[in-house]
Amino acid sequence: MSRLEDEVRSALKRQEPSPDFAQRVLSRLDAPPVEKTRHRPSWRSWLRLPRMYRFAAGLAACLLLALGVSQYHKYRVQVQGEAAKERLVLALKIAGGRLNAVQQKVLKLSAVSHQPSAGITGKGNL
Amino acid sequence: MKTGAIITASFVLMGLGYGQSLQFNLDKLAPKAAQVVDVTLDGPLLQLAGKFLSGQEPDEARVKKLIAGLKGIYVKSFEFAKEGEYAEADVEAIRAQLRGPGWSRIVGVRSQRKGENVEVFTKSEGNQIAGFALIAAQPKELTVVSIVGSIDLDQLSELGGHFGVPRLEVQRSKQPKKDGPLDY
Repeated sequence: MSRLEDEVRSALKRQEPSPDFAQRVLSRLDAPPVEKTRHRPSWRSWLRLPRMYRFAAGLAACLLLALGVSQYHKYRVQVQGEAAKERLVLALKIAGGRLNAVQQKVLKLSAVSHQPSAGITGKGNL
Repeated sequence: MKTGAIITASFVLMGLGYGQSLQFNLDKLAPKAAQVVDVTLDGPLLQLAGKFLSGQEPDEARVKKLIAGLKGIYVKSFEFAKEGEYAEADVEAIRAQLRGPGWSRIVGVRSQRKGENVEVFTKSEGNQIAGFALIAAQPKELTVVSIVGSIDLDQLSELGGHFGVPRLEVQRSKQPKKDGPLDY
């Protein structure tokens, strides 16, 4: 028989449990469950970082925030400006169009009556 | 006490500033109208719009130049499905504001056949025009335009040929004043 077989046989040899084994198993069954400790990263771990790292991280966060606010502000101004421009064009379309229509009527009536400026005051230069 | 005086003075100054523009009070007509155009561009918003106008493009450059001296543009236009949706009193309330000092009517055109009445007013300060107002009342349409600030009517007239509005060449002439509107 080889030495390997002897070692395996020895390792797998039946061993009797200790006399209080059954008692210990039963006592564990009756005992309240043990809470497992969770290892969550605590905010306190932030304080354990070197001061320089904390400063750099805070500075980066502030810069990102400032950049975000600035970009948002630019976007808002752009939107407001474009909208205001459209409204301005619309207002001038209406004002210019109406003024033009009045001029057209005055011109038409002036041509008919041969009095070029009837109804127009001396003020302005329409 | 001092704070109260400052607040009161602020309100008075705000009132004076606001008083330069016409107060339309035509909101009650909006529910009756089929189409409403309401444009209010006050100083800061007007200047912001000006910043977005290109100085390179001729049309926009003209507008930019025109609005440089303006403090506000206010336009209200109502289109109604049927006649008689607004009262003459509504128009008269606006017209009454234009009888104040400095204001004068430069054009009045009335069509009895079409029931149309168009009036153009300007406000003078010294030799400059400091305000412009236009009331165009038609049976199914009412438009009121008020422009506050230094405005060149020639430039405004020139805009008639821009932004898709057909341009009309008008022979310019200075003639003596007549009081009444021109009927046709």
